[in-house]
Amino acid sequence: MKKIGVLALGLAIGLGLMSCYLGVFKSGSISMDFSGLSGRAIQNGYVARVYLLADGLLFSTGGGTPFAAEVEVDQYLGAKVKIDGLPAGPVYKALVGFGPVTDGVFSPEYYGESPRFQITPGGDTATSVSMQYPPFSIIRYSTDLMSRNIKAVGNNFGNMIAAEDTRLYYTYFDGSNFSPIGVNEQYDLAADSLRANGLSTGDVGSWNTWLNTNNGIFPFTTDGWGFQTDFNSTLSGPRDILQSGTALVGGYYALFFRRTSGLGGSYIVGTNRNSPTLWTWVSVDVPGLTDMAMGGSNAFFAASGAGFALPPAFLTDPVMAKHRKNFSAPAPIQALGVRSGAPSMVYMGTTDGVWFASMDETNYEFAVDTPLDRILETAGEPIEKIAVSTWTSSSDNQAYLSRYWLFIKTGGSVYKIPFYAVFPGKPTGIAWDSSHNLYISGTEGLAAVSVGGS
Amino acid sequence: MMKKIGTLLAILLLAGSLAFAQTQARVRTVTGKVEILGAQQAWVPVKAGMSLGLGTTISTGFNSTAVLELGSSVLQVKPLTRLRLNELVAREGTVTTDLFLQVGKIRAEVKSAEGLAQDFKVKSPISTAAVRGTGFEYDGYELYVFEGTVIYTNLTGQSRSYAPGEQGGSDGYDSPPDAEEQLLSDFGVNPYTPGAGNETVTVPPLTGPGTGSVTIVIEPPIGA
Repeated sequence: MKKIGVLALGLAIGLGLMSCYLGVFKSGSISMDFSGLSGRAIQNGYVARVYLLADGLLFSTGGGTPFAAEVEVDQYLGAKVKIDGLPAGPVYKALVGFGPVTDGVFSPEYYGESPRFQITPGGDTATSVSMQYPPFSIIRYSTDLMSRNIKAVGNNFGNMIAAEDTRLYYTYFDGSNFSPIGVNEQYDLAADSLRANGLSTGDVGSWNTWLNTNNGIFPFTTDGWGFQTDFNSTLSGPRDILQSGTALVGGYYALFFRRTSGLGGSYIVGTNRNSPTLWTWVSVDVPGLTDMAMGGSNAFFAASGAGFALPPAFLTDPVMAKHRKNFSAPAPIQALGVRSGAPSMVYMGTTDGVWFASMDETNYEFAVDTPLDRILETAGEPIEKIAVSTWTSSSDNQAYLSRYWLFIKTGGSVYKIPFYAVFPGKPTGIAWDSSHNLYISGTEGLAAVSVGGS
Repeated sequence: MMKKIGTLLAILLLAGSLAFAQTQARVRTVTGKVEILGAQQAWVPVKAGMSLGLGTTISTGFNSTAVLELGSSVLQVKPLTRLRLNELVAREGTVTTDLFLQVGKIRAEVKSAEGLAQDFKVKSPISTAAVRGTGFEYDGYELYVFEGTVIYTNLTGQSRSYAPGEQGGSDGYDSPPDAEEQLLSDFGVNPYTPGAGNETVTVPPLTGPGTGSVTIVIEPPIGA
């Protein structure tokens, strides 16, 4: 394949101005063969980072690494970026992040996407991208976790826990948006022969965060790691837990989990809270499970494109047909998010965006009591993860993750941010802290943004 | 007679010194980079055993902590914290402790000496945590109580009492600009080179004849 080249020019009207911007690049232009981002070293100045979607997939010149162009630009005048050598045929779209690089740190301040375009063989196609302000002023990174493959992030009383495959990191936010994410402590899971599958919010007293592992669920206490190593002692059935959640229901703890091709949990009387050896677990096979979310009392599951809720009663009488409350969306459901408050809401991430409805969990029963509504900005996008802020009972901060986009809903507005052009790595998880900070775990580390709202 | 007066004087002096000892701020342990800004108006490294005078500001760096003894109470200063000791005094049976948390996080275990009550307050730019118990964590915004009772008061004077296991906070989002700037200048921004990760993508079918180019005009937002 012919080499793909990129020519970056200052967006200037008139040759006089043009010559100024050519000076930025010394030779007047740059022409590069991109197979990724490595090898470029813009240390300071504003840059535009451009990715391409081709037929809806991240465009790559091969080797599994996305094509990316990163060019130095003028903060106020923008840039004109010419990419040549693109194959004709696919329908393209350009995704752009735009911001300063300071000492090698890229901090996108704006983002945007082009309309769809196609390449004319032998010709030049013109398109434009209008930059937009994101709902945050700066992206904070963790220097401790840079380049680490972080599988998940979860909230623990406002401090976030990040999980690598066999290591956990307890992070902190010092209150300054200019400070990196700090790491206070680490925990080596390999020493306990554990592998992290994910982190879930327990939201019940000191059971604020659950670590889901290849060998059951473990809670964090409020003071450090505090594993109860006997927590899985009576867990029956497969132990490869993917997600979990807890609700306090009339003095009982309803602990639900999702595992590979199954679900289950335990109904724990409050006085037995610290005696896992006395617990009784249920575990049933359910094919096609893709996500789970915990409500105020019910657990919500997505399976084979549909949704259903299970009340705490299921944990003592594990008959699916008896307790299962089904719900559906206009498109297959892949992901779920729940906010228990006033009103309680269930968010359904489908292959065609996010749909939502208020619901009623009173009497430990579930029913969607209003017609489904839609997050219009997500239409057409297959949603893979949903994070609903529960900072306050009326919180309206949410985040939805699709394959190439991070949607942030705050203050009544929805921002559609091209993930690859703005954030590092491939996203693996999203979670809100106990305020309005959204944390994003990914294959290149941990990032956070403060989005305001409530 | 002189001997009795001398003994009485010694007892009084001893009592006075004991009272003073109970209200002294001392550094118990230090990990990493910890500095104080005292009367000399210069940042100096902190060592275990060092006494801290009123008005002293203590600053911890990345992965750095300090444990302070404030009379009979113990205060853990967590990483990236800046804290000023405003008052630490025993009077009329009450030990009054007044700290100002500019930025960062602390964990306190407030212990009462026999016969002494505690009036332990930690203020931040946006709220105040007043202790009537023994243990809590506080970062100026969020409060978590693990023992005793803590009164949390926000900037508008609204208060709430938090019991063990409870947490809460106020939407005092803005931190002092000078604290942010100071942190930035102290610690800088660590280099972090975002990459594209190890995303495995499907190369789209390269159908159609030949290749061409695209010129993308990137327009900054209005007002940039």
